[in-house]
Amino acid sequence: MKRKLKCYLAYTTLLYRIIGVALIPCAFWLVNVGLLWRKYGGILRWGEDAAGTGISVLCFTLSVYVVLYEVFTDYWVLGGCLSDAGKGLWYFRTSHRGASVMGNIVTVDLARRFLFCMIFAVTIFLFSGWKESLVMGLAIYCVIVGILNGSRHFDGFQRNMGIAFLAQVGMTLINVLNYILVEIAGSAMLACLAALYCGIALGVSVLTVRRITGRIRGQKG
Amino acid sequence: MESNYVIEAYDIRKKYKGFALDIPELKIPKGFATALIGENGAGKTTLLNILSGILLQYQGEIKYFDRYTDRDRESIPDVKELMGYTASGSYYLAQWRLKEVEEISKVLFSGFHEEHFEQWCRNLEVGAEGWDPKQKVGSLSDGNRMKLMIAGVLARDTKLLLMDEPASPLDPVMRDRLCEIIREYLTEEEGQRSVFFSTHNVADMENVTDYAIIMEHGRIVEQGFVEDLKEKYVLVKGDAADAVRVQDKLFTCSSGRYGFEGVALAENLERLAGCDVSMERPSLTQISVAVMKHFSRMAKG
Amino acid sequence: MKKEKWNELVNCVRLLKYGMSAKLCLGLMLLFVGIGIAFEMMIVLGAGGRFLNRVLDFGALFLYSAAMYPVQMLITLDLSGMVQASPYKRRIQTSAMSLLSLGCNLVVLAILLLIRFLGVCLAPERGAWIWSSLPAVGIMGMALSIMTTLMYKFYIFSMVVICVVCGTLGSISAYQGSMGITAGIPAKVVPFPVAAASCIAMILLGNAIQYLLTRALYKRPYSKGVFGSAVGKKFI
Repeated sequence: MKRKLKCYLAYTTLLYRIIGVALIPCAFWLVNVGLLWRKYGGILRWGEDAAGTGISVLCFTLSVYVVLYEVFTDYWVLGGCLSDAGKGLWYFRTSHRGASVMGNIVTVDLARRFLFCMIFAVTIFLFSGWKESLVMGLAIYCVIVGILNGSRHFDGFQRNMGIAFLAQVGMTLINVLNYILVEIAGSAMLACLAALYCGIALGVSVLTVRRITGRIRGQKG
Repeated sequence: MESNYVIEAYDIRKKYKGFALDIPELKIPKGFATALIGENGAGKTTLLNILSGILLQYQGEIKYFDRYTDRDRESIPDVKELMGYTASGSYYLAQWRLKEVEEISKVLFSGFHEEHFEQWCRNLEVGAEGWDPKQKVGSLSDGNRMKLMIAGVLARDTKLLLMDEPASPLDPVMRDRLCEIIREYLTEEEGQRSVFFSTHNVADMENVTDYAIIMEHGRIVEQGFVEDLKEKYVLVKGDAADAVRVQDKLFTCSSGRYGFEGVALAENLERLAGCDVSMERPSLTQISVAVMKHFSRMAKG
Repeated sequence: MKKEKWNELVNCVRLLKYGMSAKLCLGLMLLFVGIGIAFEMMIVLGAGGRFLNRVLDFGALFLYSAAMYPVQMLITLDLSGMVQASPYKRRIQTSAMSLLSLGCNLVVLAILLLIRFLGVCLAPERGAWIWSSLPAVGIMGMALSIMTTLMYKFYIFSMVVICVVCGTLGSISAYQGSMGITAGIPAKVVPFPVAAASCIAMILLGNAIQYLLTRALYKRPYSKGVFGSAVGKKFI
């Protein structure tokens, strides 16, 4: 793990780590905590969004902005790395450790995003007592990583922005789908959704790492 | 030799972190090929970007064609129409095809001639087919891309070519051809056209260079017509035994087992009186290397 | 002289098709217009369901984002050295960009106002709710115009501002029970013509500020972050 972290720290700039990894997520989280505190009057005081009664608009919207932020800022770090024109990965080919190093970078990046999604989910749970928070956290992660697998094919800032906006639509649709499924099947659906998103999260994470390392090794994908 | 100037620049200053471009005066003679020579990181590309209008945040004044200021360059299209600029990178979008480059050039520059462009592409053998309108710029090698840029500027009605390292990506045959092209460009309008190019490949561009400007650490350390510089400096050769004795009298000196070779200022030749040395006319390469080494040493203290 | 300037502006529009991935950008633009219109229709006609009925400006956000694409296509041209060394550099970065942005914003605004007017006519009881957000939508359009200008010269700063502002306003909107951005801005109920006029005024003001910013920032080089990460390179 130490080695993976070392690779990630060497690749990312200090400015990105300060702004993209620390400052903005913290600011976002503080705004969320402030608003949730105002809505529910404190933690563990589960109100209308108690388990099984639905997903609040607040959580819906917050999830959408998390996705927007994550896809948008990915351009700074790994934007266009899977595009045909992107020759920057070729530098990693000059070393036999190149694929492994890049794999470490992407793994830590995914871990960081997963952590952010889980912190977000736990925050919601503490306030709204909403058991779907775990489902939502996993769903957000799946949407983010799924979109990134596509957005990294496109170099160009304006395309990244376009995809970030479209990602919001995707997240909205997922939220609506979750809501409808829970409304139809009840709380039992939560466990199924959690397992499903867990599986998808694992799958897309492995796929993400393998695609980038595969590209370095010269495989198309 | 006295002549008019195609570009006059005064007090050009540009600061980056760890580097400062500081040129009190720069005059590029009209009707000649001027080489801007310098080490890596000397400031050649920065200076060319300032002169071509790519870089706009700098201090100083520039005058073009004895008429236009750098403000005019941004507001009056004539200045940039008369200048042809080739860069060492970030010039084209990789997705463009040759036909699109032609179309874009036609829109951007009113003095652009499509038939000349296609002809130049064929002459310079840009790409495998010479002229393949559907070929993507991104699929061209560095050398072919440079040839494409050269074709693009030669297909226009210009009075000045600003070229950043044009010879670097080219093969030896093409470098020779480039020198011929520059000669033809200059002689076509009888002294009305000028070329200003940067290079650290002095040997290949020497036979086309009329005027040389040598830069080091963001400053001009030597300049002059090549013939004048060859009068100003002398190549001194002698036995290895004498190397230690004459070393401090030379501008620069390199010695081996069998002898030494160095460059001295012609005005300091009397200091070598009594030494068993031979003197020759130096090449521009030897002068450039000597000057750059000398000023590098001075900068390092 | 005026004819020359007009010809230059027309040429800038002709150059749009050579912008970076122009076809993809056009596709995204049309997609955004479609999504924006769909959202707007759904919401003003009250067909959005429990959550989307409370979203007043999602559609407007997509429509304004679509209007940004032609401008961005133009700017990507200017990132190439050949265009920067041409007489069109200044024109592209200043008046062409601003006029193109104004044109696109006005088209989008016309679509928006038409749909909202339709909504007001079909469901007068929801009229005040439909048009009360128009001034705030105008502010959003103004902000997007200004951000488009700043993005290419101050990439990191713009990214931070977009994330923080969108996130904060969106969160405030959500707190008030609405999804979107502008519900976070307090809205007064005013007559429809006043709301529409203030929206138009905001857009025009935004474009005027945009033009002034382009003139002021002209000499500043493009931000390196705009070129993407180190592993994705598109200029050669």
